[in-house]
Amino acid sequence: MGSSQAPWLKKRFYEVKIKSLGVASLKELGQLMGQLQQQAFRKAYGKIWDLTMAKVFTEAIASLAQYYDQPLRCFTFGDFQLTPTVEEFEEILGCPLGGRKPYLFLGFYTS
Amino acid sequence: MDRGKQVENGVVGVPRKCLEAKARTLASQDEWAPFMDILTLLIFGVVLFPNVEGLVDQATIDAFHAFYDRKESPIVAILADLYDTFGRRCEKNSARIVCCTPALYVWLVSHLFRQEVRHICLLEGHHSCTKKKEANWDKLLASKEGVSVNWFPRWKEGRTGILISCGKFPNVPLMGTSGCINYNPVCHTLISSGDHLLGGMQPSLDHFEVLDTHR
Repeated sequence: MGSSQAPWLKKRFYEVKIKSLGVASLKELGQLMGQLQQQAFRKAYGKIWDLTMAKVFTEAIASLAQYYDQPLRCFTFGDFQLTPTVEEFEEILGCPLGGRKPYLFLGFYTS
Repeated sequence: MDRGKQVENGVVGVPRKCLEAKARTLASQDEWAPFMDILTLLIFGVVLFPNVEGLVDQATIDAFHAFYDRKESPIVAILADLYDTFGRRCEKNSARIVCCTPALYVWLVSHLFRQEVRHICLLEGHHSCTKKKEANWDKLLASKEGVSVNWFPRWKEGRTGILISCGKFPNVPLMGTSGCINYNPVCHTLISSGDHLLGGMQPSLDHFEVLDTHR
């Protein structure tokens, strides 16, 4: 087998559990909308539904978690670091969500 | 909405099934505006602020209200929750990573793979990227070097810069539904450029973290 000697496996020293989000039913719901409705939805809420459709390989997130650098709050790799920024997330989630006043969670309101 | 509230593992929220059933009823009646609102609430609960399985919790409903009524952006809160879940994972070995994984995954793929076509839309580029499916992630991340990272994707062209500080403090504070956390882009650039200015700035670079006991 020999795979246990592979150098990249040394880094993986802890197991990571990742919550899978179960988006299948959201996908179905979204597909109930026609072309026109989907366009209207994108206009009002950005790309959040399209993002839901992205198939996530939990394997990738588990590998990424091995590189999280807690004191620096970023992902440290061999010779570089990556930090997800507010701007990048704004782009990923679509414009109508970004460029506004940020939402600050202040505890629960009674509804 | 109050009537449908349930408590699961000490978290109060509306069951996902109820909302889905309601959305289906609205779709069959061609009531698209309320349908879209409920679909958005579901996406908020399931994808953007995931917490307890099968439940859209109160924090999510609050974030949705802020977005819907007060036009506030949930991006900062999503990012804060993301850093928070990774931080918790480091502290406690058994903790699970619960965050908006699709966004994180899209972000990761956008940096790691270079594509021949430079897409303007990040998601479009993500869908057309076929290499990600064949990748052995452990091997890929271990062998990745700075020069091969996609530092400047097409969608960033023409942008003016990024937020790296808050007032005099050289870090970006983030407030999420499960706690507050900050990140320090300045700190990273200083370290990576081998600069030793850090010593003098240390006090203000201190991290702060407030964890909420609700989660």
